[in-house]
Amino acid sequence: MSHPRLAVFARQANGQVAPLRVLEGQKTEISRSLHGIYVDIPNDEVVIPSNVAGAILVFGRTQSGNTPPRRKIQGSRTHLHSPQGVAVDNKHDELVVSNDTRQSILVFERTANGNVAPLREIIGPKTGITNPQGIVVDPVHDEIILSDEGGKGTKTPPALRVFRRTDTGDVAPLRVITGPDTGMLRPRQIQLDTERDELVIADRGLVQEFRYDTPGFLAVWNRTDSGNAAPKKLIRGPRSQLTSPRSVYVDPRNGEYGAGDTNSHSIMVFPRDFPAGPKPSG
Amino acid sequence: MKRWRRRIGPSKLRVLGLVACVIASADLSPAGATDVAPLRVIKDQDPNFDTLWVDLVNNEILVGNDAQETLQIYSRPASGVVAPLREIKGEATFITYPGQVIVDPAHNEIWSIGNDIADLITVYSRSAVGNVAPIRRIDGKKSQLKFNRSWGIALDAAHDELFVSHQKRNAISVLARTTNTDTDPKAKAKRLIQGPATGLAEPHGIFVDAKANEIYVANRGHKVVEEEATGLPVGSTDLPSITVYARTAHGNVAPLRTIQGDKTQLDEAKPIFVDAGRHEIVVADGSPTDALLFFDQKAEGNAAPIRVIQGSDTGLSNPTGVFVDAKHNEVLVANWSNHTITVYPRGAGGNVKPIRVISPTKSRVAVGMGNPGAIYVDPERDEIGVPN
Repeated sequence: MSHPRLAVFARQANGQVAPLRVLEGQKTEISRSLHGIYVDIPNDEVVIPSNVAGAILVFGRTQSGNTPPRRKIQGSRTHLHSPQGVAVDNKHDELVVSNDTRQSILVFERTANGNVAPLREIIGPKTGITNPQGIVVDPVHDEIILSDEGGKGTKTPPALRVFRRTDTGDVAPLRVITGPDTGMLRPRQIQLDTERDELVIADRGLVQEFRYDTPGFLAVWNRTDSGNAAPKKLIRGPRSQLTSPRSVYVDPRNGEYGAGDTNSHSIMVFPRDFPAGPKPSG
Repeated sequence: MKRWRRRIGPSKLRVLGLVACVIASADLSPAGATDVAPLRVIKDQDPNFDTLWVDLVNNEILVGNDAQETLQIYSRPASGVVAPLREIKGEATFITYPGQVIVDPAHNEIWSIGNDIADLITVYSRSAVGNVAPIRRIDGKKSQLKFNRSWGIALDAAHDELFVSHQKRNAISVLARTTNTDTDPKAKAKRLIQGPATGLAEPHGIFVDAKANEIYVANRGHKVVEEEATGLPVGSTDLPSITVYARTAHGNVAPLRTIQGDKTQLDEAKPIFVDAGRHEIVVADGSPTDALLFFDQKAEGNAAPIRVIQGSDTGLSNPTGVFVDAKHNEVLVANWSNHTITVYPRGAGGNVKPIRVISPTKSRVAVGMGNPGAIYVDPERDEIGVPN
């Protein structure tokens, strides 16, 4: 990837179009390997983790150009090590981070700034956290949901792990969706569809391991699913053009899912309503 | 879709243990899938040039294109809207996120490094075309190599060595030019430059001046280190820099010289080239600064560039590749955000117009999507936000 930045497009953009605005340049402190983002509409902000600088950057929602972040969480007290996903809990005014290299979930005050300690950290062998990626917080049901790629030299398979919002330390998840029927390969960004009480994930598949016969997909589960549960529906196949989707959004207002595809360097928009595929036989 | 239908041939590239684990635990073709066509697709159809090299023997320009993940070759004196002479593309090529490219006319070879999560160096015959397999590969994911987000490569033909920069690992690996992990899976690096004394911080472009016996590295300034006492991670963001090392440096060695500070004008600088004839270091600032900076080769500290190419007439748009052609007295630039190669007189400065522009398209509009690892929709503003 050539150039670190945040590009904003018109929602209905299509084809080879220029972004409406771009946030880029040294002053932004935006680095490469950006694997998370959250638009905090009530506070008019955008939150971006910096994987390679161990930092969380907060910008104004319409900020552009070579301009510095409003706030930055970074330093020895933060425990940030390759932060991947971020989410804001507007009800409790907290910021939740999936923290890859440290294999943990960090919770900060939403307005935290500088070298500050997290309020809570979910970490330890009972958590099962192995390769944490996407994260969402559900203040209604008081839960944090994490997508976990698994692996990293262990035999831990990919999973969605659900914790209590207020968990801290070495705690087992409330629920885990994992197993062969889930079809999960390398789950990345996750979204909570609050209107339908569903979890939607982007799974990047194995294309970037040079297995071009094993592309990724978008998959949907009920929020309360557990165990070896097959997704209730998923988008996958050559017509979809999805090869390695790492990111996903849910747009209930316009009835759409959006996906960012790593391998084809594109954003694809799908209808949120589509017929489920054939049930597994046997 | 092509990539969906085609199966790759037997690969000697060992995938991660993770993949083996995943394959064992998951059905790769889960039933219940619906193959839904997208309503809309935001995507570049034209190539985005992110690196280039000039083959002075064969009068050709090699560019890396990360929009369609191909390598293209243009005639060096070409001008205007022109088609490439050749293109290397397809699954057999293993081209993924091309970082820097190099032409080695002495051995009739083309080099490319797969950046981002690829960490794979591929070497092709200089005249390769189409969906061709590399003649050699260096798989940086091998446990003894441990590449991590490798972007830059530099070839030292005089000493038959390859230098590789690792963005996330904050390190430089030095390997034998003929290293091939397909035939020698246990091949190791000859030397490694890494450690707190090195000043390496998200290194990108790298250049070796064999005559001066020095290595030049462009650093973006981000890094995370683990505190010795506590083992806790400590992230930091410093000013960008150019660090210079002895060619044979290894270990936790301090740079011979460091260019860093507010006078340098370094801003999102990634590619680096040394014009040995003029004793200058050339780097390119990315957008929105869009500038070529020329430093004295022996510059040190908070040094201002001796010359800058910048301005609305230059055609610079996210320059991410730079090459000085001493034979024809030209400076060539790959512009990532407008599908062009721009060419300037060697020694030029200011808001100078390019003497030629080479592009396969009339369009100057680019989506500029790298790795969309995250995305949001803002229904209130009717916008989509995507970081690279």
